[in-house]
Amino acid sequence: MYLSKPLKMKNGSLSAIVYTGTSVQSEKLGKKWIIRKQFWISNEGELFESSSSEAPTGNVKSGNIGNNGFYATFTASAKDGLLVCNLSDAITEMDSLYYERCGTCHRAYDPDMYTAAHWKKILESMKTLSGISQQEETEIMRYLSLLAKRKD
Amino acid sequence: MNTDRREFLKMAGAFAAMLTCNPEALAAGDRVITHATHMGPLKAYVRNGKIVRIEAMDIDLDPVDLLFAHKDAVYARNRVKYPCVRKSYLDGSDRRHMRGAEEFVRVDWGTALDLVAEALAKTKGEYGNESIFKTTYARWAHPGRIHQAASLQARMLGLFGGFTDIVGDYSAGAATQILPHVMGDIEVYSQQTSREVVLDKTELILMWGADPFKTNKIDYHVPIHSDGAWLRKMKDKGIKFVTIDPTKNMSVDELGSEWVPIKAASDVPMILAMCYTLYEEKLYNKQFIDKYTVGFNVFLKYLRGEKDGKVKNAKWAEKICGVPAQKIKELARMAVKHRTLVTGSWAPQRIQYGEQFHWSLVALASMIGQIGLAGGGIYFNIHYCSAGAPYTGVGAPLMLSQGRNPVNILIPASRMGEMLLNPGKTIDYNGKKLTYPNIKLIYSAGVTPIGHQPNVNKLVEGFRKVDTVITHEPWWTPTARYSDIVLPATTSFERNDISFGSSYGIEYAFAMKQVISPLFDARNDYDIFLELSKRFGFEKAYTGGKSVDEWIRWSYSKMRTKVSFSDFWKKGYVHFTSPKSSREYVRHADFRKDPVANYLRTPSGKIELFSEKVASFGYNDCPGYPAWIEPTEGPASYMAKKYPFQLITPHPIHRLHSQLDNTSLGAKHKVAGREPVYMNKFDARRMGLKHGDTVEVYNSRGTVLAGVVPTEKITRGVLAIEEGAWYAAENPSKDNSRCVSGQVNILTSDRPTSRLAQAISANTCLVAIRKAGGKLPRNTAYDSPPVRERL
Ligand code: HEC
Repeated sequence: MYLSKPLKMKNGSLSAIVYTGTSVQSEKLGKKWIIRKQFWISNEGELFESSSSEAPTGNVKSGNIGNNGFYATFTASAKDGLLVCNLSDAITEMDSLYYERCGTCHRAYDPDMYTAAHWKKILESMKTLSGISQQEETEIMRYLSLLAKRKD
Repeated sequence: MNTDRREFLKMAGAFAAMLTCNPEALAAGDRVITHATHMGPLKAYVRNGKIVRIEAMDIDLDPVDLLFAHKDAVYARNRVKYPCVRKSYLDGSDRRHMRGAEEFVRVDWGTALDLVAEALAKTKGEYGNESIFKTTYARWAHPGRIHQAASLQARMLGLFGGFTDIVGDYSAGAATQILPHVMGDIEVYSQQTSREVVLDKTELILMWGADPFKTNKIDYHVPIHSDGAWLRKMKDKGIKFVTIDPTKNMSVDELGSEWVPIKAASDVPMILAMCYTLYEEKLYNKQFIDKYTVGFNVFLKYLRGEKDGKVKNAKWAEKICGVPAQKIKELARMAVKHRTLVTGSWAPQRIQYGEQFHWSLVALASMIGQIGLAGGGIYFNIHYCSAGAPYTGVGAPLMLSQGRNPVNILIPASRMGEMLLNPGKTIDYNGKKLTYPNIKLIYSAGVTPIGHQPNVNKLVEGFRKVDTVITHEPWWTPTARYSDIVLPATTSFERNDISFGSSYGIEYAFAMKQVISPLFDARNDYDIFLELSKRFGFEKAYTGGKSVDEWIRWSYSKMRTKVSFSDFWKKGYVHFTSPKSSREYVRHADFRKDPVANYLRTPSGKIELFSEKVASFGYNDCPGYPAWIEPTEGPASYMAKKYPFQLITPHPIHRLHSQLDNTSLGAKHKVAGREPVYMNKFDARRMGLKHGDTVEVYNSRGTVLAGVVPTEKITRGVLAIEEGAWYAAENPSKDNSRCVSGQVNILTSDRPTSRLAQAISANTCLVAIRKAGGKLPRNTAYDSPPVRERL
């Protein structure tokens, strides 16, 4: 299942925001969903799918993380509607934002044309051309990194 | 509900819409309505539903002649009045080779739209969506955001299953492909150092080809012409300008710039020789090269001629470009003594191997070592859209999204004619391969390819090959005349829209209010695509459930401002101010400060004077470092014996590309009723030509008639004909018939810059010139074709 909105998740005293589109394990318990997922926590406090991932999928909001990266399992509970079965349903809003903002002057280029790192730099220059706000840039970057070409 | 009540509600609805979007519509007598164009914001005086006068808005700091010509354009004699279909297309006899030479038949809108829908469906059914070619790629027809044919057409055709699209552009096609390899960014369209910083810090501006006083008359959005004051302030402050250009352009006089005449299409040797001078005289900034660039040693080997035996010194360059060796050296020395901006327009990269122009400028600027310093380094759009105007940060009013295009074929802008004639052919393109689709239907709206595309005769051959040609146009442009189905489109004056300007500063949002009712049977592009969407059953997806007025409000709502839409619309504009951070912006300052953290988007993260990636493509027409390659069609080639003059095609002073050429302003600047050809006085005298003579300018691709203007303001051996005159064949039913109007792209080649960018190279062109004899035909470019009332 995939998160259709950002979600606050915990591991002991650590608390983190996990971004839209992240895939998680989940089980239904009564009316609620119990969500769990293991992340790689970098020493900058960013959450990754694994230690070799390029783009973060969340970030630590509070708690002590030390200086070395480590794996940790985070949990949360959520109501119906937060989880969806496939990635494309999870990111429909970001998808429209991408097509709205980046599909006017030229076609919206396919996200898998470039790696996430490459997109980050492209956004730096397209940011002013397209007049997007900081928030929109973050969302578009999240969208692109979910669908970007994997590093070859 | 009875009919009266329904009518009443409809009227009340319309009334409410007028109240919100068009308050002047209620006033009696003369009305003054604000609107905005690529030439500036304006006030239109309207009497009895007709525009009687156009005035510039007060906020326009330096109004231009082009603005006032809009009245003429709206009421031009050659407006397309009704939907028209080429006769043999309508009667089924399909004499497609007669496109451009046949009469049209007037049809009603229903019939015309059915024919368009039928042709699209048939093409899709028989050949697939990739056989539909959308030529509409840029947005120069008007600055409106909602009625933008390029995005509307893509939106409709995308829902229809897709189309073959264009990638890159005609303006800076080589630069936008090479610079990401070199600088990690397209650079030519990116925000550059703010004007205040340049005014404060810069001491010397080297301008290759740039003519800001001409090109900044217009903006991709709406200009307020603030750059003239900036440039004049620089002049008054004593900043030195040097203009390297085959013509002594407008800005040379305005800026008191030093004119360095150069042969056409030969800037690269001069730039390389400046690099060599800095190396030879140990004047270059070694620290900068070491810290911020890669591949200098490879470039240096080339400069020293280690492989080809040619040292790229000033003497070597002088032979090619005609600039005295002493001058080349002097400019190089001067550049390192001052805070120097290296600027270039894009005309010098519209040559064969045009990639090398900006790449060698980057090499030069790297050796000067001031990239990232306030007022130094590179500045590749000083001539464009009021570059340097500090960005207000409000965002732009949005356009409608193009949506998705299920067909993933992108053809570089310059390849149109080639593609039409060579389906299935595979070409190289920036490290990839690209196969031309089999185009069967050409669809244009808000654009005239038989205008900007080089080698018109070849393009016309391509046009005559396909099954269907569809065009939306307000006027009988050459493209409309070579079409099968011509749909009369409104001008921006005939509908509401929204825009902003300047392009980089976004100091204003503008209400482009409807000034007059649509003329004749004209309809908005938006509505034409809507009618087609209805026929295909995706009307809802096309409109997104919004009316045009709602889209305008939506577009405005995307700007970050507190001014309400109704206040904005009532006043006609909103003004925004820029924050201090924008006024202090220095291009690449962050990279200079910390090249590791703020690395560039190149493989090395640094400026690449040698690109392993480009070298790995193995293109002999675009090696891995900036280099000079002798052009196929240069003054040193065998062709020069037959065609001894170099031809350049600068942007026009008195029109926007081809726009406004059908007005009195256009007519005023013709010579002997045709497009002027500028030639050096001595060349003219030597050939016995005088002002106003009608001449033939010709080469193997075609012949045009033009009016001679001898002048001191052009390098010997170079001819200039401004781009944008409308094409008219003397005998349209004959192939390669001479153009009676002087459309310069009859003569230019569609040879690509190289396999890297596949961009246009129109300024690499050789021609001959001779006095035209015999009875001279009339210039028919601005006529309407014969239109019958029925079959
Ligand atoms: C105001 C117009 C405009 C908007 C909006 C815009 N772009 Fe661009 N973009 C351009 C231009 C101009 C070019 C260069 C010419 C070309 O390749 O068409 C370009 C080129 C690109 C390229 C290919 C060239 C490169 O740098 O490698 C990518 C990728 C791209 N844009 C992504 C985006 C993204 C992502 C967005 C949304 C944030 C966006 N663009 C929004 C105008 C725009």
